[in-house]
Amino acid sequence: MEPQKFERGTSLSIFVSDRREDFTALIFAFIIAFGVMLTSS
Amino acid sequence: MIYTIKSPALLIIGILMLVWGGLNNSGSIDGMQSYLQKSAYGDHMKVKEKFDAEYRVAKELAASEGSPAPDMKMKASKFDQVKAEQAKLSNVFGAVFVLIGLFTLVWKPTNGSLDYFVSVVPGVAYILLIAFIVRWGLDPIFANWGKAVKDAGILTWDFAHILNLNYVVLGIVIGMIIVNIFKIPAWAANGIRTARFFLKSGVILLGTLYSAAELAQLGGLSVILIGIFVLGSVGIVLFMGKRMGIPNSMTAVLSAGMGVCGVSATVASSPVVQAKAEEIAYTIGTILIWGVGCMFLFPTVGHMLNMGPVQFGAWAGTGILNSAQVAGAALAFDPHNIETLKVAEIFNITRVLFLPIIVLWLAAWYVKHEEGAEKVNLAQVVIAKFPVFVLGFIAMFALSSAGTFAPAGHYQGKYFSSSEVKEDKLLKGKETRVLDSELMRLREPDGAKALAKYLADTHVVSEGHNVTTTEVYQALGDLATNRKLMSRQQSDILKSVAKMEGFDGVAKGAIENAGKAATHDSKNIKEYRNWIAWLFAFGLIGLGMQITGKALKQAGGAPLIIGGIVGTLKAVGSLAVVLMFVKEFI
Amino acid sequence: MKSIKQLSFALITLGFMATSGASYAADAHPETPVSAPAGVKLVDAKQVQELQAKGATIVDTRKASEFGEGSIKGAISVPYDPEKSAKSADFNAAEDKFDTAKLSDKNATIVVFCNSGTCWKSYKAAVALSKAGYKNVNWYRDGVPDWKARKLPME
Repeated sequence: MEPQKFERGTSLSIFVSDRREDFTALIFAFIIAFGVMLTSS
Repeated sequence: MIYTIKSPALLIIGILMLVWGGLNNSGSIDGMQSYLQKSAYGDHMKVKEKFDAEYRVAKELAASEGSPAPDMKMKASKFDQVKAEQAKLSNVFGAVFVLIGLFTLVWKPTNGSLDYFVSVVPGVAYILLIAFIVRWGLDPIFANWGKAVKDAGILTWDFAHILNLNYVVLGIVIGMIIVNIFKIPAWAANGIRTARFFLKSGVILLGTLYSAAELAQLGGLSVILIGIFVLGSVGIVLFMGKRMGIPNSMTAVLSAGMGVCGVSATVASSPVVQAKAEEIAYTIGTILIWGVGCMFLFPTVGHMLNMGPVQFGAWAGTGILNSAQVAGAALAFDPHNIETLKVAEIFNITRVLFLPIIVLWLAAWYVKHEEGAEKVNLAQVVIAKFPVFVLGFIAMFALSSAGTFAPAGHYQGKYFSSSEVKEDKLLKGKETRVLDSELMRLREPDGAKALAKYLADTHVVSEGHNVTTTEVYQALGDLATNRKLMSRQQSDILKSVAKMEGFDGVAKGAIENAGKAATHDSKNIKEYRNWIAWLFAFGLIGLGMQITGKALKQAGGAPLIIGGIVGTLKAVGSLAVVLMFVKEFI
Repeated sequence: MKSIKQLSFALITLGFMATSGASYAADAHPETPVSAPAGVKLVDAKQVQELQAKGATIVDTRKASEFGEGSIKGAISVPYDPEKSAKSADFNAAEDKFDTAKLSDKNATIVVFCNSGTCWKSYKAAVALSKAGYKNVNWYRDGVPDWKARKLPME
């Protein structure tokens, strides 16, 4: 039951691998960082 | 398999959020919000009083002229802004969740990516709702409570501030309560697993808050001092953890918490070493308990040993584990001399700046010890397992130091700038006249003697040397002539001098006003802080939900022992080094 | 077992909400009384102008930094600071500091003011002065916002 349930991630993360999670987090953070910079006066 | 679970939960959460947004916009919960958002409400009262007065006067004028009362509207206050922000957030998310909630109720899910992603939403909504409650409700409630208890005299300290009962800790606690006393609802299970992702994003953004320019103020010796203690603490914890047979992840995350500083270090290093949620909680608990003890012990010892402000600041900044407690100890030691607090803060931030180095070290250490005994090519393995998000943190830190987001040299989102002082914030004639007369008074023999004595007694330091009376005269004169502070150094000098016994009250007020006028908030940094706060709140609540009582028990008492020993070594060791090597100027 | 945990948690939460509810039921920003305390006269802007013309001492009881930013023209700064006592008519003056060294003449006409309705400093100062034997204490309740709105001289 357990392995099937989390085939697309681990019990701690929805991402398949740490690396993928890291990269996505990186992109997300940079979008926020530059988004804030660009939308500020 | 199909991940989406049919449940009205998402819809209900969305509706609750819309209700909160609506209540805020309609003004019906102003009473409660005035208590929760005290400082914003204070500003509101000022704006309201001004408006009431103007309106009353306008009405009288109109009545005397026989014309109808004018239609005036009050300006928006900070309180209105805060309510509007809360309303916007809860309305936007509420609307999204209501829509997706309705969708899941009528949709027949089929196996695939859409099903997977939709199944994540309810859990995310669940945590977000709790995050709203924690940030907008519990955090201010505890903050007010702590202040009230301190004001009432029941305790001499603000327990909410010192025990760090902010949204970070409260979030974890709430998560833990939910998982241990209640149960994680099935429909939320998938969404909760996003917690770590959001946490990582928050950690990367953390890099934007730091600036290497602050470091430059210190000089080499302090960096070496801190470097030794940070690296030393980390090393000792790793060594002891291995010896006592504790899981590598626990050891590693504990070493980050004990070595660098507190909660953020622990959180930042946790993904790198695959720390389990209970290990993180354990570390945070150890740090906080230990830190509170230090906060009381350090000032006492400092006074017994007759330490000067720079010495004590260096000791507290190196030896105490948590920012709030470092500040608490510095202020407890010397409530009057801002120099102690400043030195402590700088040592503290230097310590935190070691974070990327430590994270890299821990990553390598963890990989080496987890991969097994064979002589693996460390470089190869490290590259393969490299924590990419740490690169992100370092990149943000570099950009921040380069001044991309805010003027380089900013500290915690605030920076000093004389040129940016606004017209209406320049000192008024009354204030400069008082400053001039104080300057004259301090030039006379009696005044000059008192000033010199004060400077000597309180060890007022600036840029590595004892401040002279000439510098004080210069600073006062410059401020009176220019109607604003000209440099950070002069600002610090005057702030200290203003606390002198017998110094004119209005002159002191003028210096305070000038200081506030020259300190600017970086809007970008404020925004980042906000984002980081939300990402952390979200991530830590989700994290808390993964900490079960059983798991905590399994961790055992060993981490506490290690924490206690290393904490003591750090405190005593740094004391010895500071006494020997840190003179009153660096 | 779980239900006992849940029950005790529910009770603690209720208790918590009750105590915090009680503290926010109490008004966070109470207004000063609309009538003057014993031995003090309530005055308005016009009367303050008249008294000032006759040589009264106009006293700004706000913080020195607020005084510096702008106050009634001709006023002196005698801050009621720090103000730690409760914001109610039965406040405990011993918790506050009010240094009356600049007000040596107890027979002089004195006008105290601060920031209107929710600022208690001038009220408490008036009470303190009256109790200390000052004969001629006037309380300009509407304070700086009113003076400013009427475009009277500021400095």
